[in-house]
Amino acid sequence: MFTDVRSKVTAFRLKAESGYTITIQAVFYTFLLFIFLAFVFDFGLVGNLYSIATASMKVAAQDAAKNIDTTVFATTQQIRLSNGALGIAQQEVTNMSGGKVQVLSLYVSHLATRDVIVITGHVDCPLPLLGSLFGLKMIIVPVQAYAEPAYGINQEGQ
Amino acid sequence: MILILAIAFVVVVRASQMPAWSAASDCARAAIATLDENIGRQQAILAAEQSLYGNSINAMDGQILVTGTWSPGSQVTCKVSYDIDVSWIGFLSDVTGGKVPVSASVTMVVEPYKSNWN
Repeated sequence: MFTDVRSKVTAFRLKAESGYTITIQAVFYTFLLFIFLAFVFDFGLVGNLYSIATASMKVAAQDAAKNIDTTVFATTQQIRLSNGALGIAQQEVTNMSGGKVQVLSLYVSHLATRDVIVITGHVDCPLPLLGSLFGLKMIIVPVQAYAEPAYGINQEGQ
Repeated sequence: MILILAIAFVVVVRASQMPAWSAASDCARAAIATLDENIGRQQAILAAEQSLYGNSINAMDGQILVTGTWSPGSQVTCKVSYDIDVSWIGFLSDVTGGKVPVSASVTMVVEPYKSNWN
């Protein structure tokens, strides 16, 4: 019985497709190429924004490592960020990325032998073509960077 | 055919856009690691060049510009710019003039608390 149904379906499909093969293929492959272009364009844009975000976060982390609280460091030898460090980091990231990267947190990770400045954030990557095709307007990519404060003395007794 | 050309164009341009920012940030990070201007410029340009060589980009007319003053807390700017060569992509090369300019600029503060290593 199933073989009978399957053969009827196949016959119907062949009849339905007859004469339309070239048209169907042309439409199908054009659509496929456009989807491929959308992927390449949009995810290329994501990659580009991610590279800008990574560079800006690295710079912000390294600059944040310069905004340490010198009073606390001089008295306790502890690395702590100054009050304005987060604002400065966000300002730098905004300047470099054109406002597309948001800094979420900036803190000092106290490890056994060293202190590491950790900055986390995310970049909002628009997907213009995929958004117009499938409604996928944007993806949010997390970004993270690390830096270590450099400190020393210029002269003896400092 | 136009779709295929557009895909080729986007692939080349997107891939060649990304290294500019990495090179500029590497350049600036190397520049501020010293108080000596000559050493700073040399290692900044070397860092940018190595960063660009590490990426397979289709670029021409590249320029690395390092400006600023090297004293604790002062600012140094590193600008990396080049043109992406798209002259081999038919039709779209006529539209863009055969090249797409890319530029990235990063400004950083010279280490304020580091010992004066020369």
